[in-house]
Amino acid sequence: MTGDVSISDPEADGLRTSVRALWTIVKLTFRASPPMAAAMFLLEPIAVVNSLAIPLFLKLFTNAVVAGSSAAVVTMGVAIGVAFAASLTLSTLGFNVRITMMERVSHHVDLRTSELTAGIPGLEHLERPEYLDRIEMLRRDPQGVGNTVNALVFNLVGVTRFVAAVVLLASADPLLAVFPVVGVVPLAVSRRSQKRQQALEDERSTIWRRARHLVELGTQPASGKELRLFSLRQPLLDQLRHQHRSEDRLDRRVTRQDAVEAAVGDVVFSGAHVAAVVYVTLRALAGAATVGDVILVMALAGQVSGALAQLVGNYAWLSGNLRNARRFLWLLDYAAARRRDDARPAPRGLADGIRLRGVCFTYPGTDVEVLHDVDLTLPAGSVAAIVGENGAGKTTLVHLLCQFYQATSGTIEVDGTDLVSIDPVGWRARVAATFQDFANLEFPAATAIGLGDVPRRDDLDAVGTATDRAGARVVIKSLPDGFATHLGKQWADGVELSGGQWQRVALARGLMRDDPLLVVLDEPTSALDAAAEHALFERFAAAARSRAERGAVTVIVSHRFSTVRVADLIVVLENGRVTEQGRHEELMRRGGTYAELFELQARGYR
Amino acid sequence: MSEKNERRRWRWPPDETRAALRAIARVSSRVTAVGLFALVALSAALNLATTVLVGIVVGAVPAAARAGSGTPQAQQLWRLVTLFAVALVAGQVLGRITALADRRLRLAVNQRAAHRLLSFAQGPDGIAHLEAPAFADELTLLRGEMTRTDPGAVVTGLISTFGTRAFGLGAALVVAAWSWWQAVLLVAGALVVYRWLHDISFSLVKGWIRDATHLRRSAYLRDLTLTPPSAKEVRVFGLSGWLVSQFSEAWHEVMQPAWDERRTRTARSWTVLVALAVPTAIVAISAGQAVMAGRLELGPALAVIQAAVAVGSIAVVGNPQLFGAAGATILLRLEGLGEHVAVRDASLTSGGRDPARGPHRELALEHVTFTYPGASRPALHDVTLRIPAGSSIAIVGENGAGKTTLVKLLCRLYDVGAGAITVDGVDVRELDLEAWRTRIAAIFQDFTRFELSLRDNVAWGAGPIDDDLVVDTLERAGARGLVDTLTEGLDTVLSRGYEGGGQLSGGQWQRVALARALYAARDGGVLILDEPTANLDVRAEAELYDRFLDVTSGLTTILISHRFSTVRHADRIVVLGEDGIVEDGSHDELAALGGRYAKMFALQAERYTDDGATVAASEAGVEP
Repeated sequence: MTGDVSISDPEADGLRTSVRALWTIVKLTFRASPPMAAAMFLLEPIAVVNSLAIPLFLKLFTNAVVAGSSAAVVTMGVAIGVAFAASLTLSTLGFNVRITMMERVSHHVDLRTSELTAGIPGLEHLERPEYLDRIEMLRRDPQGVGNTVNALVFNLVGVTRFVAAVVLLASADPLLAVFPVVGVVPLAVSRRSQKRQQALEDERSTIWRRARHLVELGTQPASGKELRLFSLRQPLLDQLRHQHRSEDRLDRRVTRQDAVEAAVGDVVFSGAHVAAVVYVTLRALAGAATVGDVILVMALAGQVSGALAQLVGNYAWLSGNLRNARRFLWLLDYAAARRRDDARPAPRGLADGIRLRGVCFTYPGTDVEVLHDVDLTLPAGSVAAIVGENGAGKTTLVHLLCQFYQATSGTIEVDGTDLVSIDPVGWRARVAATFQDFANLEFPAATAIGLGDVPRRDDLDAVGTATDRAGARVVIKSLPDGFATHLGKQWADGVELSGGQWQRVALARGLMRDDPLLVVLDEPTSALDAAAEHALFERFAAAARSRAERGAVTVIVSHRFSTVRVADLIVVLENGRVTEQGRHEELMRRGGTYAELFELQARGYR
Repeated sequence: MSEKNERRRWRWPPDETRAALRAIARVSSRVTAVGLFALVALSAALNLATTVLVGIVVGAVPAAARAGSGTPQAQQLWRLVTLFAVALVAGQVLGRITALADRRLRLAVNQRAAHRLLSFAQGPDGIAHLEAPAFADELTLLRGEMTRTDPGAVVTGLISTFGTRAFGLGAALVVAAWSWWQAVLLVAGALVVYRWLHDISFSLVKGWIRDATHLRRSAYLRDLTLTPPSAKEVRVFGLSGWLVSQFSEAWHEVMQPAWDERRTRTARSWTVLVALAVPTAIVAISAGQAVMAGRLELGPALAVIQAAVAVGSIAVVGNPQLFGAAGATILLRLEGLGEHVAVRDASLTSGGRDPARGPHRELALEHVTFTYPGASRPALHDVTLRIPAGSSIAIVGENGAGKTTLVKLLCRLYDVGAGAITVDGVDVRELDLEAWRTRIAAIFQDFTRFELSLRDNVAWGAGPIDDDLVVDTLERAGARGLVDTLTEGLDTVLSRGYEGGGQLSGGQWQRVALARALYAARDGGVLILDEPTANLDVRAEAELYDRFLDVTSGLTTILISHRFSTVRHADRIVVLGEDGIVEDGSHDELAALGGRYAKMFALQAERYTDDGATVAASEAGVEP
């Protein structure tokens, strides 16, 4: 976790981080399209200046009428019409540009988030709860960062409106510029209410999370079965109603508080507004101001209060949106901190094998060591099996071999080279793997398998070979369009597979690579029936044999002991320690944990 | 559903407005609704008064200045200023009240929409609708959209539209008092602009909803890079580059046409300039000339000009209208979903007979055939099976033989296509549905993880909860330890997303799900175990099956597993094939029969015998 000290916490509301995040977003808009970004930042503020020009033109118009200047009346009449129409046109065009820009920025952020998240070699950011939450927030609300653009422009418009109004008022009488300052009162009120709003949001988010979960439960088929069977449909609706009532109570409370504060703000502001009108009227009566000045002040005052309300609302909006922008910034920093350029390429073949020396491992952010002092030699060309009970550290060991994490202490050597110094991308290009929690890749069947070796994803011969190796030919044959069938029922003409069929597709994908150095099979047959499992082992054995000549190491994780006994080396993990290792016969003779667990399972078959 | 909207586009008031009105009517009383709109109208009138008074006040200034303070003219001016101030403050107060009402109504509409969505999904007694792609798609889409777009925004949209249009039309009346044809010109211009703004803005909103469907592809590709389930494979297979480029391509494919359309529409913006600028300038100039010619007072002239600018409110299409339209689209689709459910709801009906705490004699399937809606091949074909009450039976068969389908039929989540399922000789379709379901409990392969307390995960919905019985049941399911290790015992919410929440492993979850089934079966009946130990390790599985007899005592038990060492614990084993039950008997009988079961059992068993070791080892090319 050393790399994280310099990375700021995106959940903390730091001003510096916020400014950096904002700047990052502004740069993004200009990268997306410089003319469009310029148009976006200019069009709507210009539209606002236009709309503020109307009171000014009204003033000049009034003065012209009073003075009886016909030419000036015509000029100002046209000016009023044009300023009005232009403000509407420009703001609409600006709005359009803004929306398009928002979409582009959102997409860009989305794309970068994907690239960065998938590009970080390790898994920590996708497994550690607080990091995963941040990525989840970025994923769930892709518009969030784009909305920052929206909020930014709105703030720009608000500031422009306010400044322009103040300048115009001051042009009539410098003392009138005091009047907008009174507007700071509602602003201050809003700042306070904004903090309360945040507390409210936190309280509310728990309610929302629960409500969302309830709706999800009720709308999905898997949980739909249990809700019906256990007569939980009414309780679920009751529970949702209960959450809604809590939300309602919360909202009622806050609404009441907000209403009081807003009323105070309104009274202050209206008072100032009226005072300004009275002041300018008195001045006009005294001959110190023109009639035009009176209409300027009266027409502008509404704009000032509008501008302030807008500023207040938008500031809250912007700071809300910046949360996601800060998360994006965190991801940029995090990915940068994990980039390495000094890595070595993976070896061409294995002569010696993979050796673990005193490997210890603790998952980042936790304080429980899951692997203790593991010493292990996996000779080139061998098939090793790792067994142990749930939580013994089997999968963790595999994670380290795939470079998803680095050992906390100790080393993993590949033909004598420290695995840490090898480029993870290059190393993984030589790893063939199937995991227990495999992904259902919903593409045409050929692609879902071919992605196991991206450069050869369209090579139907290679895909066919892998399909046969995995015993997945029967799956393909059952599909209406064979390899061309789209998998996954959420797609038009997509076909849903059963758990076992998906697993075979995943297996075929894992067997696409022809020349791996390391083959990982993490619980490869959990969803398969007896016949399928049997057929599969025969093919695995054949594949392992052919790879053995090139030095490939095969690691099988399983708690089915029938799979395990064929291995050259069986490793028993207990509570993160290697307690036994050897061949099946040796371990059986020893009468330790392996023999006990094997007997336990074999008992069922005698 | 969306096409229908397209066709009805020119109805007045538009579908969106109707949906908004219906939504408001449902969450508030008639008095409240009418009162709210009266308030909005009053607020618009006050705003108009303020606008017009600006002109009148200013118009009164020259006369008052000439007459000097204390004169009737000056007093008249101050009366007008006071009136202006009153209208201003009153308008603001009303605005606040409206905003509060808006907020409360909006919340109510949102809550009702969520409640309706859940009710629609939950309404039907079966689950066919949840597994039908079209319905499930729409459900997922709406659920997703409702977290992003407030359906309640229709309230704000409607209030704002009503208010601005009333204000604009009122302003047009003020202008008409001066010159009717100028008023007509202004309104016509405003309508032209409205059409333009409406087209631009609503094409955006339609795009949001439409793209939500079309952008699914790109969202799916993106999620593969961002979510844990695919993380390992993305890394090992180096998929990130490919996925990201596919994601970007899929996104542009949808967005590019939308952008092109937007560009064409904005090209028409010059018409707006003309449609608004010309009438407004005409009003201003002619009013100005009239004042100079002495045909009109300055005050009314300025009031007319202020009003002329205010007529533009008719054209305004802003955020409230946009989000309102988006909200209305969701509400309309929700209504469509409701109609759809109403049609489907009839497919599965409850009978009137009481299962009378059965089965007492037997649970039976008689020539049951079942085909999923939309499927071409039956999932079950001519299955006949008798299960004596109180006995246990194991069902084995290859992947896809229909084991899980059989479970769904027993729970009456679907009804059989042909044949019948009977309880003590009575067809389950004649039984009261809810009553039958209380007689049957199951742990499904894809059991649910409720983000609720441990207690509710075991006993939710089962009436008053007996904590001792919950702990007892957890013990039988092998999960007693959780009560002590979780920080808040039975009250611990099983999700780390909540304060004090706890996280369970896959094996622990499975035991909790098993406890739920056992708790539901506390009064006897049928217990279905569909792969109940898939997430358990060797020792835990062995422990559970060692207590199999104890756990299932007094229950009619159906066990599904493809691990043959476990099915032996059942009294009887049946092999389910493509044409129904192909073998039926005890383990020893089936083993002696030498049929499909014997072969499958031997396949698994041989790897645990010493002979098997030789076979397997030689297959692997490894010398023993």
